[in-house]
Amino acid sequence: MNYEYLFKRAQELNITDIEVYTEVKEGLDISLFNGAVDKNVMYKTTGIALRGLYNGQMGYVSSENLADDKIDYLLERLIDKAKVLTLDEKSFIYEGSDSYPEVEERALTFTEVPTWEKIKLLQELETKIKEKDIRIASVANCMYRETKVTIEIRNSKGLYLTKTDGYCFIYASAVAKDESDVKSGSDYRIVKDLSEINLDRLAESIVKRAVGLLNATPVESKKYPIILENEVFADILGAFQSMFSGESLLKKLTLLKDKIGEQVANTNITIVDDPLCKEAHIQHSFDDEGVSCSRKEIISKGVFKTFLHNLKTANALNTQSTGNGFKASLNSPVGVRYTNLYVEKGYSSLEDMIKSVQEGLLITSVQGLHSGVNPISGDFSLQSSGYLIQNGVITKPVNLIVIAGNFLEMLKNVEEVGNDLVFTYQHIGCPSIKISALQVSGE
Amino acid sequence: MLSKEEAKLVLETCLETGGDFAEIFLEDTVQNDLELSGGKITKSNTSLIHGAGLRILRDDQEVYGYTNDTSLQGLLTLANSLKTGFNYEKLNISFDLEEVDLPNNHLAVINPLSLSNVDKIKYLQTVYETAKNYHESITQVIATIWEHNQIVTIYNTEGRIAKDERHHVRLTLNVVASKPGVMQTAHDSIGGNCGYELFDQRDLVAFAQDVAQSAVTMLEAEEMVGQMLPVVIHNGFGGVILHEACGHALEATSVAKGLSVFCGKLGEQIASPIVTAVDDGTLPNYWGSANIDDEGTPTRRNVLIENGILKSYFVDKRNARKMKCEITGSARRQSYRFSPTSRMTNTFFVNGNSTFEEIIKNTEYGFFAKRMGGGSVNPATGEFNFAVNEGYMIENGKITRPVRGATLVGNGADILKQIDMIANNLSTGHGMCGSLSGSIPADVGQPTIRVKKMTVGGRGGKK
Repeated sequence: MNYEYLFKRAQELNITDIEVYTEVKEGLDISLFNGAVDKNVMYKTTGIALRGLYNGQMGYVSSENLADDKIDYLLERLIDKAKVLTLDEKSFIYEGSDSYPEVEERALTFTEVPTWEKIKLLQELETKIKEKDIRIASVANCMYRETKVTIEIRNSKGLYLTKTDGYCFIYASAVAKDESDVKSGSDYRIVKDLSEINLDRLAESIVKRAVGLLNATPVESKKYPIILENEVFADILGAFQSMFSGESLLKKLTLLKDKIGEQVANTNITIVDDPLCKEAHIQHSFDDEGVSCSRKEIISKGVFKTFLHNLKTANALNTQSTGNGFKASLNSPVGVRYTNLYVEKGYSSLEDMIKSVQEGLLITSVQGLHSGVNPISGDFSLQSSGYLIQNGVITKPVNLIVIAGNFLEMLKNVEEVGNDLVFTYQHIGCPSIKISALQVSGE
Repeated sequence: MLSKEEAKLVLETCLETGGDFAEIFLEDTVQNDLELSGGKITKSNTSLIHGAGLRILRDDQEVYGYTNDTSLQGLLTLANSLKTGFNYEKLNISFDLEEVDLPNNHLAVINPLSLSNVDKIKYLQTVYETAKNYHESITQVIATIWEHNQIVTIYNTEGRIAKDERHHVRLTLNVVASKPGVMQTAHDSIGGNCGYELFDQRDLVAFAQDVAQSAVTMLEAEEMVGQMLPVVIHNGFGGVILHEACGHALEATSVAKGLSVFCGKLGEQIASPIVTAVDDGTLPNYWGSANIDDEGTPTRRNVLIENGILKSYFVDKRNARKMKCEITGSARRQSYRFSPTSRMTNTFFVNGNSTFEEIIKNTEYGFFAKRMGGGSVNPATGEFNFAVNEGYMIENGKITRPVRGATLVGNGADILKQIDMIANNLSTGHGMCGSLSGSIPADVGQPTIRVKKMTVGGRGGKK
């Protein structure tokens, strides 16, 4: 695309500032079924998102059609959009931060591995899963996915930034069967170098999750002490993360409104947004507006410290951008999103936490996160499965129960924080935690 | 736009390594979003979605690729890298491309692309103002319009060129009511494969009042006490359970792999004899309708369950080869970025013999799920869970007090057998259905039904 013409034409049309965000994505998506390749998809796409200020309002358009003869049409649409907006909050095109943190570059070695080797890796994983336990009836899904993304931001204020990152994702789910029951379990790994994957351990975890829940039954409805396994806690935190967003605050859709400086969680809880976290899958030097990224504690020893902001929410609320201006997708406007959101790990091992429970539940999976949680009120009600713990020992698998509570109340009732921090594919990291009690509906 | 000769050249290139079928899916889409929040227009976006997906099949093996370089050169480059997925002798396949002529049964009378933003915003203002002024406890109202104007052209080595123009429009209303320490949301939407005439045909004021009333009522509700009891699920969006817990298990993607609980059950009694379920992609201007599916096959009405007996699955071209059965005209995809697969269109239980009043009157003690939220299901086991956005207790054959925070939990195959009453008030609700081939508009629907027994979760103390 002819950027020079674009900037010039924008100026002629009275678009005071304009920015082009370009995303080039390349990838591969393979899955197996019964040893054979079931899905084999390759792609390369380029898209642009334009945003520009017209009469003080920010108009957005995006396009996957990069022909130069579309430039005029796109700018006209942008103006048409800006004309109807009646936002109070001021929007900005950013001239750039004074400095940007350095991100350690890690080579994306997977892009050099031929496709057949990736297929072979999946076949090995599938075989290992089937060999681990005779109750494994099938491997329902065994997949490899890689993406490499290059982003460029250039604007009429002279900003030009670019970054390339990517990773591959290996996932499988297995179905376990015995005389009386069928259950499934899954797990995955995210790496930049395929040699980092221990296939044996991945297979073992998948099998354990499937077989372990065979013949699970509900438990009696009442309050139980609850241990949330690390990934489960991360899933729940992810469902509620919008309560930390400056956008939610602007819309008055967060329970944390007016709570800065207040104790909102137990003192053993510290929640961090760290774009540079080395244990996370991706590091960010700048956000999608070109603002420099940095680490901040959202909840520090239980005290709520800050919302996350982009330039617009920060300005409207009279504060600074925290470098959290990100787009959900190419064609969405810059919103507010965490980078690597995690709960700082504690000292207890999962085993010790289990030992400390008289009668309680270890929750290893929750379903229905898109419907069973209300990020505005903090209420959740989630179908769950896991294990019953009696006198410090796991005694039986449990399913078809619903755990229910309120997220902030739950954070106040965290008795112990585990040392097993893990980052999920959603870039959220959590250790396992022990909660004094949650309401459980079962039988 | 590709000429016939260019399309043929691309398809022939795809077949060079022994493929027995190839397809080009070309898409040009204009997507518009508008949001009215807190009295202001807070969002107004346009996206041009433009690209091509190429697919090569050999028996039931598939390779797929996509690009937004839709020039002849771009497509040939993709075809050449895709064909490396097969390494066989070239088959002797010859074809000539001919355009199929199909009537448009889903015309947009007021074309979204020719209506001004100012006119579109008027619809948002109507629902916004109505909901906002409904009650003092309403603290936040967000109204949105989503439009997806899609033109698709499909070319394949069966010699077919099929085109479809689709205009999906949807107006969604979200309402928040609150009192100190408690917030309650309610939402609903109106949508179709049509133009803005849809919003003139519907009573937007009554629609907005209904959503606002739900939030206000539920704000004062007590927490649901978790228990097992008879459950009456209301019409319209209540059909989400059929969709999630049974519909997905009838899709060839899970049946062909032997992963569905309904595998090998054609002709068998899988539901209570009063149950008949249908998927119909031909219903004029319905949200899940289209003239052709995304493989270029005309859509049709498929009876899934008739008087409790399983009659049909959802089958696409590739899975038809695995399952050795007919395609059902319901292969769909979100965009050129997805290979098509068997999906639902408009899926619903047909009317029964009871009335809504009779069902309530005949329920001594139970739960009434008036407004369903979303949910999910584990396809391997059929276990599902759904949030209830508006629920009430039924006591002595009467709807009594509202309860909040209820979740329906169960197993799809069991629930089908447990349905013991069906009313005659069929209606549908509009959802976005996410699965292997992306997120697509799908209608869910049913008359009011009663399930003999079901687990309902909640936060309330023990009864």
